[in-house]
Amino acid sequence: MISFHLPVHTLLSSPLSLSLPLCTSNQSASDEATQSRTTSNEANQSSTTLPDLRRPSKLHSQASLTTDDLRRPPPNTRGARHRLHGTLPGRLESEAGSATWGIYLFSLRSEFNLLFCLIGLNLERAHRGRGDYNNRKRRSLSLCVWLKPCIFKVVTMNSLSSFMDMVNRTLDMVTFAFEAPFARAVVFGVPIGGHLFVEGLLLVVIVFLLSQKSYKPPKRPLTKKVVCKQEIDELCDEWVPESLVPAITEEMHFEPPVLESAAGPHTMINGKEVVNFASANYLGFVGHEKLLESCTSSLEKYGVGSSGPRGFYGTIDVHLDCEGRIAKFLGTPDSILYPYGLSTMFSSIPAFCKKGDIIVVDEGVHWGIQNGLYLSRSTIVYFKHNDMESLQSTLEKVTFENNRAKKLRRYIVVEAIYQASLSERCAELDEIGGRTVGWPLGVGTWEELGIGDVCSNAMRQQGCVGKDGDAAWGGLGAKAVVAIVSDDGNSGQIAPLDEIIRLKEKYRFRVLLDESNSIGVLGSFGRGLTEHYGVAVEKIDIITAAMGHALATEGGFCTGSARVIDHQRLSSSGYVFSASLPPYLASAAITALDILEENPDLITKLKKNISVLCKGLSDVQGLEVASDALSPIVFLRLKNSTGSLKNDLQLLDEIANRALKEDSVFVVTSKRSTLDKCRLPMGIRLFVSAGHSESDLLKASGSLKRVAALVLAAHD
Amino acid sequence: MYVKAEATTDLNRNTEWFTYPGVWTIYILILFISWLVVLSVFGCSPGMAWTVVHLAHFLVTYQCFHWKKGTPFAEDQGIYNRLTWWEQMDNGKQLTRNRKFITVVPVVLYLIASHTTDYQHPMLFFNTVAVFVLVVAKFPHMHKVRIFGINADQ
Repeated sequence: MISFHLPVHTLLSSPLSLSLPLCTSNQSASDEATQSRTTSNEANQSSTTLPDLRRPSKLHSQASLTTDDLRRPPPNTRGARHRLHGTLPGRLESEAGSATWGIYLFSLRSEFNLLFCLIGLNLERAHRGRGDYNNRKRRSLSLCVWLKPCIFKVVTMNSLSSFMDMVNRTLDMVTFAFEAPFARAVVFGVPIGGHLFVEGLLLVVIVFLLSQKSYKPPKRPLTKKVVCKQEIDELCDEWVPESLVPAITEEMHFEPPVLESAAGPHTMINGKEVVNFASANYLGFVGHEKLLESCTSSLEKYGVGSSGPRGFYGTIDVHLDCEGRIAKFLGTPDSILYPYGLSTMFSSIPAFCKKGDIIVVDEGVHWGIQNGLYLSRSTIVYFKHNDMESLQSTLEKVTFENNRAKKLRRYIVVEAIYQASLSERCAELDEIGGRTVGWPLGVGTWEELGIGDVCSNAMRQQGCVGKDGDAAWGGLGAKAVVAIVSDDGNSGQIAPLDEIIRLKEKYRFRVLLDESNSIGVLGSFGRGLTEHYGVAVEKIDIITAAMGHALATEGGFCTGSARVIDHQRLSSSGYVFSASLPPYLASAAITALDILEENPDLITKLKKNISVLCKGLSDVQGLEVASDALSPIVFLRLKNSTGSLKNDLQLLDEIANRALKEDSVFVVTSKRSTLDKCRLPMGIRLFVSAGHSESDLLKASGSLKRVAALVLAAHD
Repeated sequence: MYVKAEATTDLNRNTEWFTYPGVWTIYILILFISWLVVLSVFGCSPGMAWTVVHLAHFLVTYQCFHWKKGTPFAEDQGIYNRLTWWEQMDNGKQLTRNRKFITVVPVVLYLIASHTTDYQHPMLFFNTVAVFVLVVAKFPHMHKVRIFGINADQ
C-alpha cells in the first residue's frame, strides 16, 4: 500500500504551507483565514480549521482537531487516514481517494522546506493555468503569510527596537522552519521522504548529462591576457637569454705551461728543460723502455682502439689478462677494467649506491668520487677531512639517530692518499702524451679513446678541460700538454685504514676505497694502503684505482670479491656503455705491474725521495708541509693564510710561476674547478717520482725556499 | 571470451590509463569494496559508511583530478604543467563517455549516501557540499577556468 504524508505543519511556516491548501479553498475563506493570522502559531491552528471552512458538511466532525493531534504520528495508518481525510487539498484528495492514499502526519526533516517552497510555487504555476481560482489573491495570500511578521512590524513600529524584534522573529521563523516536521511517503512499508523530488531531479540531471554530445572546446589560454603585436615585439626585444656559461673574469684566463717532451722527471717547457714535479709519475714509468716495448708490440698486434664496449665485442684477451694480473697483484678474487681512470669512480659508485642509501664520505675526496656520489643519488653525509673522530660521530649519528638505517645500504667512501680531481686527469694526459710521443695515434676524440660519455661531457663542462684535454688527446704524438692542474684542496693525507676498518665493522658499513695514488706507492711491494696497514684486502669491500698515476698507463680498475666485480659487468655505466680500454694500454698496465713486482726497490727509492724532499722543504719560509711523511704528493701550504682563498691562490701561483721561470722547477698550485665542492685550503703540490735524482729534489727545495721568501716578503 | 579493445588514442600517459577497458568496472568495484571495508572496520551504519566513502571519494578525486596539475612524466616536456588531470583527460574533449562516467559517479554516490543516512543533518550537509564542488568542477564551462583564482598559480 502507498501512503502519502502531507506536510501540514511545514506548510504553515512557508509559502507552500498556504499554497497547497489554498489550491482548493474558496477565496473568501482563505482571505478570512489569512487576515485572522498574525503569527505562525496562530496560523498553525487555523490551518486545521481550513478544511472546516471549505467543507463544513464533510469535515464538521473533525473540526475539533488540534495541532498536537496533527503532530503526533497516528497509532495506525488506517485510523489516521480516516481521521484526517478531510485535511487533504482538493486535487490530492480526489487522487487519494481513488488510489487509497493513506494519510497521516509525521515528524519530518526540515532541510527540504525550501525545496518544497519551490515545488509549491511550481504547483501554483501549474494550477494557475487552469484558471479555476483567483491567482492574484492566492499569491498575495501566500506572500502575505510569509512576510506577515515583517510587514506588520515595519508598518506599526518604525524604530530600532522594532527592527530587532523583526530580526528575532525572522530568526524564530527560520528556526521553526528548520525544526518543522516534514512530509514523507511509505512505499510498500519503506518510508520515502520528500527528498524523492531531489532524487528525481538529480536523476533528470544525470539523464540530461548522458544525453549531451561530446565536443572539443576551442583553444584558449588559461588566463586571458590581451597582448597586441606591438607588445609581443617589445617583450621579444627586451628578452635577454641567460648565458649558458658564466662570464669569464680576468682571473679565469690562464695559460697553462705546455710540455714539449715526455712528462718524465725532466721535461721541456718553452724549449727549456725543467724538473717536473707536476706529473703523478710516482715510479718513473713514463718513457720506461719495457713499457714502450709492450705498447709497441701490442699496438702492432691489436691496433689502437678496441672499437666497442666490453659487452659488444670490445673484450680482447689482454683485457682479461690485465684483470687477472691486477687481481693477482692485489690478492683479490677478481677485478674489472675501466676505460678511463676517472670514470672508474663515478661508474662503480652508482653501480652499488642507489637512492636512499647512506654514504659517509670524507670531505676531501676528489671530483671523480664527488661526481659518483652525485650520480648515485644516495644520501651523502660528509665527515671532516681525515678525522676519525668526526667519522665515528657521523657514523654514530647516522646509525643510531635513524631507525631505518638498518634497512639501508651504508657505505664509507675514502681515498687512500687524498689527492686531486683534475690534476689526476691532467697527470694522466701528460703521461700518455709523453709516452706516446711520435706514435701515429691519429685524432683522438674522447669517445674514440674509450672515455665514457658521461665522463667526457662532465669534463668538457669544466670549460678549461675540454679544450686542453682535446688538445692533449688530439695532439698525441706532437705535443704533450699539461692541462690546468686544478684540484680540490689536496692534502696528501693518508687515510688511517685500521681505524676505518674498526669503525666499519662496529657500525656495519661497507668501505669503498680509492687507491689511485697509493697503488705502487704504499706498502713494501706497492700493493697500496691495505699492505701499508697490514689489513687483509678482503676487509675492503670495493677498491677502485686509476692506472694513470704510478702505472703510467691509462684507464682504471675496480677490485673486490667476485660478486662485487660480476655485478659491475652489467650495471656499471662506464664499463657497459663506453668502448673498452685500448688494448695497448692494458698490456702496458700488465707490464707496469710486472716491472713493479720485479723491482721493489723502486718503492724504496720513492720513499727515500719523499723524505729528502720533505726534509728540504721543512724550513721554507712562510710555507709548511701539510702532507703525510709517506705521501708522494707533497703539499705545501701557507703558514699564514691571507684570509681568502683567492688571494692565497694568487700568492701561490706567483711562487710556482717564478720557480718555473727562474729556476726551471715545475710545480703546480691547487686550482679548483667551480664544479668541485671541496673547500680545503689551497697549496703548492709536488708529485715526487722515483725518477727524480737527489739533486733534482734539492734544486726544487732550494728554489722554493728562495722564491717563497722573495714573494712573501714582497707581499708583506 | 576476450575483451576486444581498441588501441588507445591518448598520448598523455597521465590520463591514458582511464581509456583502458574495465576501468569503469574497477572504479565502481573500488568504491563498493571501500564501502564494505569502512562498514566492517568502523562498524558504523551503512549510511554512515556510504557517507564516509562519498567524502573520501570527494577528497581523493578533488586532489587528484582537480587540484594537482601536470604529469609525473617528463617526456611530455611540460605541456600539461598548467592543467589538472580532469583538464588533460581525453585531450580536453568535453562530455565524453569517460567524463560523463566520472561526473555521474559522485552524484549517484550522493544519492546513495543521502538516502541511506535518511537525510540527517550533518551528513546531508557534507554530502551536498562534496557533490556540489565535484559536479561544478566538472562542468564543461569550467574547463580551464579558475574561479576566484582558486588553484590559479602556475
